[in-house]
Amino acid sequence: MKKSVLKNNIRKLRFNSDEMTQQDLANKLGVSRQTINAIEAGKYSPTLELAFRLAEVFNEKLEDVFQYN
Amino acid sequence: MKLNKEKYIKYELGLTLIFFIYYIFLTVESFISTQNVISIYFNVVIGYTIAVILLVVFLLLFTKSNGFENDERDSLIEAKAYRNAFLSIITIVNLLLILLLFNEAFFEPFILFNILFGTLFIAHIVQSITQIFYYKKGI
Repeated sequence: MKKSVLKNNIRKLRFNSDEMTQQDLANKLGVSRQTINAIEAGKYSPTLELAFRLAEVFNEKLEDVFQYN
Repeated sequence: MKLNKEKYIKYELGLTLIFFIYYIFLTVESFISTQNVISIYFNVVIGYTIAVILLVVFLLLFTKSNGFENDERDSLIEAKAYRNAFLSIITIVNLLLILLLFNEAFFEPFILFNILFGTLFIAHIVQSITQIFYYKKGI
């Protein structure tokens, strides 16, 4: 399988948002906790829509949440 | 609370494998007994359907869930799993067509029926294994 080149700061952003749990974030986005875990671990690249919604939850720009290299 | 799909697929795969082995056992037995193909088909299909319904009810009650989780990742994994299941059906049917060209013995309805019925089981097993693979390894 091709190695994911999409990095993210979700763990750090969660920690900075009053130590938000994966379940809390999942509830806000309407996805499962396993999906949040997979995104954080780089095992799943979210759709553009989910990526924008993720950035919106943390009040950050998309490029501050995800980095492509 | 929603039921985790990955967990359900693992249980369903176990159930499918049990019924596949049961089906093979019935088919082999039918060579020596007088049990016909139709009774094997109904035994396996009805038995499997009831078992899956019971599994879903049991899991929903046991985990106090009110449905299955289904987000974009689940849908993507499901799409890939259906693709692999479809490919396995196409592969087996093509192999069967080639075998039919070269061996008339395969024209026997009993053999043809069992190969096609077994193909459906294999496709379902491929689908479940694909889903488990992508849930574990990532997509």
